[in-house]
Amino acid sequence: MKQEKESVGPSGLKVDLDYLTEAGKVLLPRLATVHSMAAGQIHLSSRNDAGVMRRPGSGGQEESLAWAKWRELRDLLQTLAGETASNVDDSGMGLLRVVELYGGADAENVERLHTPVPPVPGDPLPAEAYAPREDL
Amino acid sequence: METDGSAGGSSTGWGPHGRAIRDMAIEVREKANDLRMLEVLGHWGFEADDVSGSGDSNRAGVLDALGSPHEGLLLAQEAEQGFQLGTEFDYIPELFDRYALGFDPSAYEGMKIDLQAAIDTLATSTDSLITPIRHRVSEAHWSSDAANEFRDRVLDPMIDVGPNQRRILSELIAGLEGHRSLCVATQEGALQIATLTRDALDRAITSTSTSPEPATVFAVLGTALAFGSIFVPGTQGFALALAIANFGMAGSQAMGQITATSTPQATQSVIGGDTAHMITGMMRAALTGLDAGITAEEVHLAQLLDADIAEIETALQDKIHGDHLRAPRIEISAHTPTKEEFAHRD
Repeated sequence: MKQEKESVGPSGLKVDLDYLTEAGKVLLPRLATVHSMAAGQIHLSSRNDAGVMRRPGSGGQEESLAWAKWRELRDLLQTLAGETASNVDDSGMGLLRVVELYGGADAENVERLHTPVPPVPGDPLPAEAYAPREDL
Repeated sequence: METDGSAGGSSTGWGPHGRAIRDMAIEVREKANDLRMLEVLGHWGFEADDVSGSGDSNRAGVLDALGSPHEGLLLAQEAEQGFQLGTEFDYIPELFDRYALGFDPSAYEGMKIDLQAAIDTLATSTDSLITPIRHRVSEAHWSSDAANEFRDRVLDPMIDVGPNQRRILSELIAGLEGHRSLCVATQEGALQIATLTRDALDRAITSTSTSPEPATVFAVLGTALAFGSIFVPGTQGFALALAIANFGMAGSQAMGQITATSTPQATQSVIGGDTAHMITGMMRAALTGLDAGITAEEVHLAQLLDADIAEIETALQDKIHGDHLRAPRIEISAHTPTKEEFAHRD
């Protein structure tokens, strides 16, 4: 059962850290893997380069006039797929950083709430009244 | 018959018609040499029937039929010209070898399989990953300025990245298929030219041996190859696509122009003539036309691929449209990401 950790502030801030963690740690890296695999498969196509796109009528001795452009387009796509993998992975890490910082801020606030407030001069309450309560 | 030593029919480097072209070219050589010998016989008033034995390709028989003094005159001519009767057209098989060899359809198939695998892999991204990611970071689960930036600048473009990369892959496959079709059409064209030449020579030989006036008339025949357009022009404009915020390559001008529907078509070209030299001259002219067709189609394919590349590079120079081609990159810093950090890194 999923644990709810949702909070909504007056500014409209709302965050579900579990969901962001799953997106950043599992789903986005998986998407990155998909593009990385695709880049690898595009690269693999070069293993069959040798006999392909030879100029017809050249007895296989000359490259096709279109071969350089075809290869350029393939290499460009391979770069795009590789960059996509890397960038998607970075996005996942970005989300994890968000989670980490939201969580860190929350922990810091807890600590601050437990810090004794110095008595105000003239305050009728005794200083013990501002001490952290053990039952909280 | 010459072979590459491999067993069976079509093998690596020969393509679907390579061996047939080689065989037909050898026939053309034999027929052309035969016809030339008959022409020499006719020149001195002899006929094929005057040659002893079965072969009008039998040079010794022709020389014997000519007898003195014609034999001596012919030998003197051969010595002066540097080649023997019956060998003048020995260059023909080599002429056709450049169409018969160097085409490996299996190489195209291997590359297509690899690229198709990449298409299948990328299909996963939109089908099964983008949707759950969008759900996890939806407004219902994350609401803030940074969340809006992440959705607008990172997640939304990502939806189009997979489909756009698949379209480029499809274009690459179409380019391969188009070129493979061109190679097949080239071989079909070369085989047709060789066959028509062989038939023209055959008819000339028959006419020569039966006519009272040798080597004068025979049928003009044939059709030769012309290339149909392999590539179908696109119909949509790229400018329109750029104006759409949710950029999609499907609306571009260049993408999708490359298709593979090559079909050789018959033309008015003919291969015929009265003599072996005339017939083989027309054969060479037909081959020159074939080469011109090949060049035109290859240049066309190169131009289409170049248009694709230019279109992609233009899109990549634009931050928004480029992000629909490959996922955007964000900065990762040691504090809570701001909207700027979910924006683009230049």
